Amino acid sequence: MTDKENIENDTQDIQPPKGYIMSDAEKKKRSQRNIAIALMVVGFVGLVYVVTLLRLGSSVIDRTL
Amino acid sequence: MSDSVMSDAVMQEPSLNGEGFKKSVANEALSLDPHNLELQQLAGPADYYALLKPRVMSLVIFTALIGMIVAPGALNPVLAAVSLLSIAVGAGASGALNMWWDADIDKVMARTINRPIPSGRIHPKEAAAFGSFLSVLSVTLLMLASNYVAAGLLAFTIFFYVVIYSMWLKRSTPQNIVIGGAAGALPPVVGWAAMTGSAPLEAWVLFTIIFLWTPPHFWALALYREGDYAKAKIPMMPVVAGERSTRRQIFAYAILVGLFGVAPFFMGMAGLFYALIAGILGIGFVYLSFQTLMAQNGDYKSAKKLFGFSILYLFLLFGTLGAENIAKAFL
Repeated sequence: MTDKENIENDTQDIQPPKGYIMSDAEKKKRSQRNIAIALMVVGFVGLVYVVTLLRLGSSVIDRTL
Repeated sequence: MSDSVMSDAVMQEPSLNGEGFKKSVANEALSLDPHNLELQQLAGPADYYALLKPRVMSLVIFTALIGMIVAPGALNPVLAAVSLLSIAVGAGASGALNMWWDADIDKVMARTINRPIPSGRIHPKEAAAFGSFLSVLSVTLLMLASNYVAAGLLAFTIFFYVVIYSMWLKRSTPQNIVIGGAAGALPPVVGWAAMTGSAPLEAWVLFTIIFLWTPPHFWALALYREGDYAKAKIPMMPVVAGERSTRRQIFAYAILVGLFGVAPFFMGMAGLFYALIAGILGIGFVYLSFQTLMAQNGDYKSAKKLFGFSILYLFLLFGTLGAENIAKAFL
């Protein structure tokens, strides 16, 4: 097979992307959403941790090891 | 067509009463079918924040905070802050659920058409899931940070706003915001309960002030937004009973607000300074509602003034109550 034929075969294999393609603006918004969700989850975990410590008070260390 | 003429025309429609009214609302909702809306663009974090009705949320935070300040109990400041955050998130959750349910009428009204659901940025089902998730989260967090009474009251507030007000009363009776106002009046009681684990009579005095304040506040707005409400087929008082009757009822409620605003002084919850401020503010509220009463139909200048003043009234009344209690703690 010549080089030209090889290139033609290769380009035939490349399929156009399927499904919905996001624009740059949409990708940016999705990224912002992901960051917001991550911050909320971390914040919530932190809140529950702090609330638990404050509610239990000294009982946190007052336990059988 | 002016708003008043339009509402008169709408009022003459027999379908605006009873079952006929409900059916016409249902048909309108079907033709709009918000649950089949195609999303126009991808939502960002700001759209989800808008779904929480931040302005309503700020009023809830403020009144709940005053309830917490006035309450006699003591709570660790961090736990108190987390409790207040939970109340705020609970209010936001009910706002999101309200926007999910009202997507069809929000699409019709100029005031609400740019909200995230009618403008096609958030799918109604997403808003419903978001609101439900935050409801459970806020009640659970409040239960962990304070107590079961406060958490139960917050859960009841969310239920009352979403199911009793949004789903039932809003589209079926002109008393919608009178009864539904209970949801907006509950935050100081929730705040009080978060601090003390109970909801005594004093907490319900704060509830009653906001409960009585709600009808003149919303009806003043409804007077000059009457056309919008008529278009969305919401039976607000001016749409169903007419402007004259609404203006009379605003005046009657304003007198009650003026009188009840001084009640914390007589209940021993506030001092003379509060009584003085509450008295002056009450006279102002009654005076502006009297101007609204005397204005001609179609003249909304005084109604707009009253609406603006009503927000200031609540802010100054509760602010004075809170400031006086803080000052008392340091003197």
